[in-house]
Amino acid sequence: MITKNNGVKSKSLIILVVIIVLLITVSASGYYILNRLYSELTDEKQSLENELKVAMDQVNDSNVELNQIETELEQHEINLEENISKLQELKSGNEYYLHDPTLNEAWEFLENNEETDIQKIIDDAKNRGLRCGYVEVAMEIGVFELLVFDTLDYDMVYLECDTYYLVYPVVGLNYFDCIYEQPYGPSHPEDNDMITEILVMW
Amino acid sequence: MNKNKKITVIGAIIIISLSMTSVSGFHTISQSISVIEQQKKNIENDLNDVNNNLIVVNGQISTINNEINHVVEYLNENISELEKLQSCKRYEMQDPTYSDIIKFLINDKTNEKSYDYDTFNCANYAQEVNNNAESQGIRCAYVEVNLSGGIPHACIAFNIIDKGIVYYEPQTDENVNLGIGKDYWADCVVISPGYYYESDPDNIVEGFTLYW
Repeated sequence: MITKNNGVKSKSLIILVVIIVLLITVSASGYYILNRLYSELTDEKQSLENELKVAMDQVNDSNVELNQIETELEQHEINLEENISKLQELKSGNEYYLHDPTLNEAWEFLENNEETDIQKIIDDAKNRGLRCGYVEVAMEIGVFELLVFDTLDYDMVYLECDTYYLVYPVVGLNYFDCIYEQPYGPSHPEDNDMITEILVMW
Repeated sequence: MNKNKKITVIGAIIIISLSMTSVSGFHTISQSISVIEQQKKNIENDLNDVNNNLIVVNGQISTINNEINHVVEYLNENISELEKLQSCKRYEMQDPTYSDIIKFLINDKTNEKSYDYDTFNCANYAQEVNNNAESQGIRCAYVEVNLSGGIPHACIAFNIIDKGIVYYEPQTDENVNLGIGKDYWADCVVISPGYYYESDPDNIVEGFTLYW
């Protein structure tokens, strides 16, 4: 009987110890896992904070750069506006106050001009202050009229008044060969278009 | 209390204590994890916002830089054109008075040149006088006159203050009363008394154009 009681007592003790050990083990491993998770999350959070800081610094830097270039753009726009105003002043004129144009200015004028009558084109150009000449190109077949601008950047620029083809007339050469890119094709002997004289009237 | 019971109670107390400690510990750590996860999520959102903001700002920088490039390119073209226009000669023309014309024509010696149909004809005279006048600031027109014979003639014109448009024959500096239907030489050219030009059916003025 005594032996049986002692056996039960030992068993209960062992079960208690096992439960306690199990509890301690489960708790310890649980703590360990949770702590690791906490630690990983803290690291991740720290890393994200660092990343955020870097990104915010970049945004700040970019904002500073943006402000600088906005100021730069504003300054350029002010300069441009001043230049445009000065240019308009320099380009302005009339038949009594003329200037030789740049090629760009001459083209701008021609692009906005719908006239094909050479006299009216010259009058229009001069009314805008552009010095534009009347040209007579004498050939065997007769006289052909051209416009001319003594441009500031490309010297004398001759043009046909109805097509605006560029012409480089030279005495002794055939007219059709003097037109830029020969839009009418090359000259033929039957054309009788050899240039004998070029008269420019300003 | 016998020894067995004592051990059981102590064991139970230990188990309960351990369980309570574990549960509260787990609860605390879980709460901390939950807080830190929330914080992490907030930071991720912030980071996302900041990155988006960065993309927007960088986009704006890129756009403005492109705009600056265009403006600078346009500005440089304008500066180049401005410099050319600032340095170029200006031509100030004036419509002359009658006495200006007389002085100019006396001083201009084009009329003294010899006429040659092939090398120095009426067009050359008119061109030379026209260009000489313009180079002196006198507004002058080159006038192309269509004659009945089919061969055109050329003379010049001035818009004289108070007198209007007056035509001149550049070969002789004579005044010309240009009119359609009249013989250019015999009827239009005003010659000195005692002189005359012969009429010619090929010299009837059919029209004329002024190139100022």
